[in-house]
Amino acid sequence: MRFQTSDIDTYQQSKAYVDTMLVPLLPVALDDDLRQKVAMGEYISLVTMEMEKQFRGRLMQLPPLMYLSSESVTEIGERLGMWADAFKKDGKNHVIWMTSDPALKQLENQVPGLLLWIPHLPIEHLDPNYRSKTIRDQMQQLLPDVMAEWRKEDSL
Amino acid sequence: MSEKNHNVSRRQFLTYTLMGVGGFMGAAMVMPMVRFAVDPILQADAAGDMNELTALSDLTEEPQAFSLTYEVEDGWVTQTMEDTVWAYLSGDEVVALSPTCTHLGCTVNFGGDENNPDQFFCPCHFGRFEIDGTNVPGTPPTEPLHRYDTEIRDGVIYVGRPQPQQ
Repeated sequence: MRFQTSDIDTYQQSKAYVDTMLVPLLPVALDDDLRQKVAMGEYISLVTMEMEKQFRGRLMQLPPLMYLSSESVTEIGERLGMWADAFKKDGKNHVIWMTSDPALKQLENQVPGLLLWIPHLPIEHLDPNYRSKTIRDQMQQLLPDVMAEWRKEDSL
Repeated sequence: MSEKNHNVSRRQFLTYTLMGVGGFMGAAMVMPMVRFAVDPILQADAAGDMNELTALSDLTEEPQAFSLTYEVEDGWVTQTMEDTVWAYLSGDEVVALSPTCTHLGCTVNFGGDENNPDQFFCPCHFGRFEIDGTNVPGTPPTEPLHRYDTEIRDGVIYVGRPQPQQ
């Protein structure tokens, strides 16, 4: 489900079934590396959309969580921890963080929930038909990780 | 010759002629406008029906996932959409099912559950459906998978939009 009014009624009726939050993480910096940041953000947004499509009945996709590239990884990790605590209080059992940022890969085993680090592919140069296929293939590779996360009783 | 000898007077003749010509001119102006105004409605009727799925020879008794691309026209804007369709042969009949779980809309897979290789499986809340789309009692979904209307022309399968079964 998405964070939009048309999905919220369904969410409220079936809250008990939606136990997972899906949060894309987007780095922002207006520096020389801007193009790379934008490309990573775009890619993650597309993979996140595909993930939402696949599992829309069990997860709620939130708007992207932005951070400054200049922030330290520890700081970002702490912030994700705070979010996770808040979700736990609201009865959620799982969080899936989506990122392409190589700097965040080291958080994989530190943050609560599942941090999926997906290397960014330069799909902006691909033919549109091939682009959606690439995203779907990428998604298929992530399925086992998501299923494994859901097998954990209480991840948060 | 006086006026009263004619069945139609000169004045009446002129009036009728002007009305006739004026009517044609008015219609010639209004008709295209009406046509433009209703055009999207007419288009939707014409194009929103059957889309090509795959060749009939591609189908087996085992359900396979095919991708279906079709165009959605919303007024003037045309969008290309892509859906997955699970299709198989049941005897001579073509069965095409939508992969959208009827519980909360996740995507189901055929044989996704190791213990039930002959059923559709929804990974979100472990909903299951028989091969014909019937929901397995005791799992979350409350209605069968939606089914596409199919049509075969020259060995090619065309599908419409998914409809609820029953």
